[in-house]
Amino acid sequence: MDAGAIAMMLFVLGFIWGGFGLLLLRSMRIDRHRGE
Amino acid sequence: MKAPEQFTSRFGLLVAAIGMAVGTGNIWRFPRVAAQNGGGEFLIPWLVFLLLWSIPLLMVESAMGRAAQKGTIGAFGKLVGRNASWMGSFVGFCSMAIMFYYAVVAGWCFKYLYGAITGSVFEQGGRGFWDAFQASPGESIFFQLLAIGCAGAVVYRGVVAGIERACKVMIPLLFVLLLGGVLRAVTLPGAIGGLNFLFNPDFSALLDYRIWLEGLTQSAWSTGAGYGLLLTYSIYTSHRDDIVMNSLTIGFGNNGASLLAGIMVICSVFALAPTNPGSPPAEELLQLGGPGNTALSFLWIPELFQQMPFGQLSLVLFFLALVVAAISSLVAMIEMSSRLFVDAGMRRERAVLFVTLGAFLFGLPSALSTDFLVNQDNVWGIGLMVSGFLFAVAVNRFGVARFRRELIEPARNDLPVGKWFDVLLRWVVPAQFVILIAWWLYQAAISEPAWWNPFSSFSLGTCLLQWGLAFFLFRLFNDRIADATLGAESD
Repeated sequence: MDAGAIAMMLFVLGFIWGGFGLLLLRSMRIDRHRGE
Repeated sequence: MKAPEQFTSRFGLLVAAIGMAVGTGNIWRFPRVAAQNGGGEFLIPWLVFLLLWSIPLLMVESAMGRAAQKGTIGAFGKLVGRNASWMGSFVGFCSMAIMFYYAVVAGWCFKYLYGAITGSVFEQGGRGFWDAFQASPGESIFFQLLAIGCAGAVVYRGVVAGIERACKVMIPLLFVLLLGGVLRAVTLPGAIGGLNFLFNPDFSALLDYRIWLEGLTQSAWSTGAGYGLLLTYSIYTSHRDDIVMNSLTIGFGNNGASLLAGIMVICSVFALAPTNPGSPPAEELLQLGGPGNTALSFLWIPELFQQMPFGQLSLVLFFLALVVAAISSLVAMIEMSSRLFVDAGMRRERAVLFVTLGAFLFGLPSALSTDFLVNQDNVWGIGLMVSGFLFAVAVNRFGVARFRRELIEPARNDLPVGKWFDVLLRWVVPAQFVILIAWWLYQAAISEPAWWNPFSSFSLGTCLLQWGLAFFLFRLFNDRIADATLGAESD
């Protein structure tokens, strides 16, 4: 696999999935904190 | 009237809203559009417009629904003024018109799931199965009814017992299916070519304006921003619930699903196309349109999956993912439409039955004619951009800074909303709309010699006639519709 493709894949997957994962975890933690 | 139900948790709202956003377009359209626009370089505008178009509009919808506690018509009427109710009518009708043909598309997914389970898709081949299906109007109608019936049954049970409970099962299942599909695809010999294709960027291609317009279009259609669906779900949330983080989570979750689908489909095609003697090269196959853009998912995926070990199981899981994605979006469309009738005083259960039956009847022309379906997809798909623009108009008429201060900032937002929101809604979103609509209308004008013909599937004339008719009627009956929805409530 090309180096450019690897870098782009890591950036896009990291940005989208990293962002989504962090946001979702934070939301669920807030839910638990509020006892919802 | 009973106080509206509320989602029991933020997670409940998020799965419902991600279900609304993730539809067949993520699995079906994204890989094709990414391939048509070079793969890697397309991902950059696609990400940029997630932040510049989709997420600001999701925030606006969320804030409007929560503040107004009404569907699209009531929200526009209450927040912008009764004389603006027609804008909410257009937004609601646009999504309703999409619901009519979307149920037919969901029916196709059901039919293919059934065919994958019984193995008849493999026996007849993708093309043969499609042709036989299209030649049988009774079957088309049956599967359309099945799809709309399933989604209607979920909405009928209510927001918590129906929508939230179903989405808590469907959405994690959808992500598991997509993840399973990705693992299967990337472990096929030759799949690495697909990853190279999807992620290798050619930065010089970013100078081509068309990539940016396609990125904006995909972002506008895919996240559900401007449909009025999140506005409706937001009625059922607490006044203090986070608006900013929820909108970001929905946008990122939607694009995350698209990425998984892209990897799954593109890697499968790159691995399997060379092993199938009849198929065109992978890059070419990924860009095929076909009737209603069905070529890749409905004609070729079955052909290709037949070549691999556990192909039938993989095909079942692929179409199951499509069914789940389609139903969770259809549920949101039925809820949005039903809410408009509930606001006008109809009992919820009756409104859901009325909308489900109406969606079936008004979807029949699309079930019987792919040309009609393609026309509706074109007219109301582009109409969604008009809807997005109307949300921006609403915010500007309310006052952008006032909207932020009064409707967004009082929520318990984990992330602050700065003046960037004002800039986006005042300038950036309207500018994107003007550029995008001009480009789409130009495309419609040049791609069809008889661009003025209102009865042609893709013409400029058909868009203008149908939008014009909708605008004229909603403007004409604005006061009556506002009275029915808002009663004696003042602006």
